[in-house]
Amino acid sequence: MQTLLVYKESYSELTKASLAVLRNPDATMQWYIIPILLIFIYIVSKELSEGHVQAVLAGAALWLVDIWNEIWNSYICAVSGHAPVWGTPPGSVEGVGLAGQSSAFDILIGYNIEISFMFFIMGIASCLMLPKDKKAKILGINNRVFFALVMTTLCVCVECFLNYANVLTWEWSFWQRSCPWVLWIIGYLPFFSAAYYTYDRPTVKKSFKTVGCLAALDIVGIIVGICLNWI
Amino acid sequence: MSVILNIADYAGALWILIGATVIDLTIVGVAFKDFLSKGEKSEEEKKD
Repeated sequence: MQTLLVYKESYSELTKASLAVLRNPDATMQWYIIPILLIFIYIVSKELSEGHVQAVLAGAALWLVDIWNEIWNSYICAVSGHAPVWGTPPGSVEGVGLAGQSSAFDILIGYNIEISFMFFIMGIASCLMLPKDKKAKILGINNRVFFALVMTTLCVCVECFLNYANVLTWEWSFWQRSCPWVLWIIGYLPFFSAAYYTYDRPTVKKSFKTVGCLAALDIVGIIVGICLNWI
Repeated sequence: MSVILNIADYAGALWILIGATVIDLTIVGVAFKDFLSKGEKSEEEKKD
C-alpha cells in the first residue's frame, strides 16, 4: 500500500520514520491485533445483544471525532512540511532514543490500529459508567459535563505519560506536556462531548443521525486529503 | 529530542489548526448546550 503523503526533506526525523511504515503492513503487521479485533467484536456484540445500541453508537461517535482530529493532524504534517502535531513513529528511530515498540498497522501519520480500537471501546465504556438520569448532578454540575471533564483529564494524563515514554511524539511548541490544556480542549473534550451527546439522543434514530453527521465530516476530510495528497 | 518550532511560522498549517479547532469546539458547544439545557430537572430535583 502506498503512502499518499509526499516525502519531503524538510520533514523531521520522526516524521520520516513514520512515513516509512505508514500503511505498510508488510513491515509492521503483528498477530496480536487479531485477538484485539475479536475482543472488540465481542464487546460490540455483547452491548448490542443487551440492547445498549446508543452506547455502541456513542463509541462510534467518539471514534469518528478522533478520526477527524487524525485527519487534520495529517493535513498539518503535509502543509507544514515539518511534522504532525502528534506522531506514532516506529521504535528504534536512530538518534532520537525511542522505545522499541511499534504499531501493528499505522493508518495515518499519528494514528494506528491500536488507537482506533482503543477509542471505540473507550467511547462505549465511558457511556456505560454514566448515571441513568442525564440531568443528575455531581458536585453541583451536570453529570455528563462532570464525566466529560474527568475522562478528558484522565486521558490527557495518559497521553502525557505516552509522550514521556516516547511512544507518542509531539514536535510543535504549542502541543507539549508544558501546555496540556491545549490537548484537553482540542484533543479530548470534543471526544467525550460527542459520545455523551450521541448517547443521550432521545431516540436511536437520532443517535444514528449524529453518527452519520460525524461520518460525513470524516469522509469529506478523507476525500480532500486523498485529492491533495495530504493524508 | 525534537525540533520545536512555532506553528505561526507556517501559515497554511495555522489555518488548518484554527479551522479544526473551530469544528472541535462546535462539537463541544452543541453537546454542552444540550447537557446544560434549562427547564428540565433531575429525578432527585423532581422528587423535592
